[in-house]
Amino acid sequence: MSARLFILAFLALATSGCAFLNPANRPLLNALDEAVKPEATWAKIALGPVFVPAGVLSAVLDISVAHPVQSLGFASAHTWRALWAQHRGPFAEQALLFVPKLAATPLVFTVVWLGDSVFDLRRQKGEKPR
Amino acid sequence: MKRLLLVATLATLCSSCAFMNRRNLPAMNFCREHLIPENKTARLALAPVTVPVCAAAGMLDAAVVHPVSVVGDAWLDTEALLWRSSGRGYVTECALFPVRASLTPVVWLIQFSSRSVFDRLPYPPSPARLKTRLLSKNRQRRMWTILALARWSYEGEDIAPATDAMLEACRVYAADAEFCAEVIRRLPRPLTDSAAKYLEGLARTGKGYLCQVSIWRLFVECLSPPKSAGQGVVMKNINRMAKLYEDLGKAGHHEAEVYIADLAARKANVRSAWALALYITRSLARRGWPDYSEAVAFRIQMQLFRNTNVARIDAVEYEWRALRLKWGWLAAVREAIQRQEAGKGSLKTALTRKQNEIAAKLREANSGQAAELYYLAEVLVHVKTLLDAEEMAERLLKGPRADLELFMGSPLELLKKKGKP
Repeated sequence: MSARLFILAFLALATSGCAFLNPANRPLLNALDEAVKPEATWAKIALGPVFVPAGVLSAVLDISVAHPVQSLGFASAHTWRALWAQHRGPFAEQALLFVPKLAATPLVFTVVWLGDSVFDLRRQKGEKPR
Repeated sequence: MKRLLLVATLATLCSSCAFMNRRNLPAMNFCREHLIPENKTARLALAPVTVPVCAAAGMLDAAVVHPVSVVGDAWLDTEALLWRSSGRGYVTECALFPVRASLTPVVWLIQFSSRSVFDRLPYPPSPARLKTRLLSKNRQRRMWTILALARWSYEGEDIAPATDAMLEACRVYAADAEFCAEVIRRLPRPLTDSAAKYLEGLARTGKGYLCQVSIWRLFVECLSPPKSAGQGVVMKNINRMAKLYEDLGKAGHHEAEVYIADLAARKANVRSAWALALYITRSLARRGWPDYSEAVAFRIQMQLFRNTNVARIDAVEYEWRALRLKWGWLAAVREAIQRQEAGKGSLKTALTRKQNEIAAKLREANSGQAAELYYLAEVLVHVKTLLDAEEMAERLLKGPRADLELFMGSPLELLKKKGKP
């Protein structure tokens, strides 16, 4: 059981690493990097016991909370553009498409949101930097 | 058959084993040097003692001495892979610390075992090692060595000795054009003076594959120079190329000359090639726009006019050739050549008549007929272009066959072909 959990955790980390590799997706860590800048080696070592766990926690929060929250806007905008923004064709056709579009909205939103949270879709689409 | 396959597989695997390389067997080398006598009889007599001792030393090397000697290298590899600074801030480095620490033993173990078992090639090889490999009599070994390199493989102090080793290999195996071409392509950047001189010598022959590769390599040096090279080096390279272009033209090596112009035309959208491209245009204007290079000159001007205003201002100085600054002109010349070669005759008379008719209509046009005037002017330009193309085709067909081939064909292929016996 523990081995499976380990593999799952490892896979989760490995895949989340894709978006995590982009510094723009690490707002908490970036903020801490800006705030804490020890120059001397002794200061770096002395602050280590505090900032190693703090850094890991920030990274985990960046992966699991901050970046997914950042991605909400992109996912909703993308869903809107893909399904609702363009009104082509006659009114009757639009009316017929309303229900399928409504049904597809949460699906498209979830796929885009998860994709951007994990794989950093915006960078792959060239929509960076933020 | 299966046994043969097994033996072949084992041999292939063992060829890269660490213990197959004598450098990795210091204890055994020591025994061979100090225990084995030179006298054949004594050697045979002592064999019952020396053979087991040497074998034991070899085993000791494989099991202990060589693995211990690679501990440091394995750590350096691990450090390079995991512990290089990410370039981000202190907290990011702190966050990466547990990941790096947990992966360190795994990566070190992989590096250590692979270095202990397999004889890994250091990349790039040291200049001394490179020289030995490039001078090897085994052609395959030479080719593999050179193909594994790139122009930026050597830096700093290694550039000069690596270049010398490569040039020496070229001189020793001058008959092996393919090998020499690969060496020339990979000469370290920036080119040393000796390398530039060697390449210029080859380029000035004006024919053959190596001439073509040397010109290409010298041209590459004019483009995006390495950061270590200053502006002075770039200017020196461009001037050297311009001088070479001029000299090849004077010596009548038109294939090589047009090949340089062709390279400049291809890269005339890159700022660093503008000076050379502008120089070529001026040189051609000074020589009265020789027909053989007209196809390339046209391409250079097209690119330069699109990219730099200097070309437009320069055009006033040499000659305004607006008619030839459109792709239709080149196509028209090629079509006229093909038609005239097929014996269908020139359209010159008909086109001249048409030109005169339109010119007369233009003179007669009444005031206020802007649209008509524009249409007539457009047709006139079209007719004039076709007329120019017909005249050009006639001149090329009457002139030397080589000029026509240079106009119609690829200078690269013609230059390579010229060197063949």
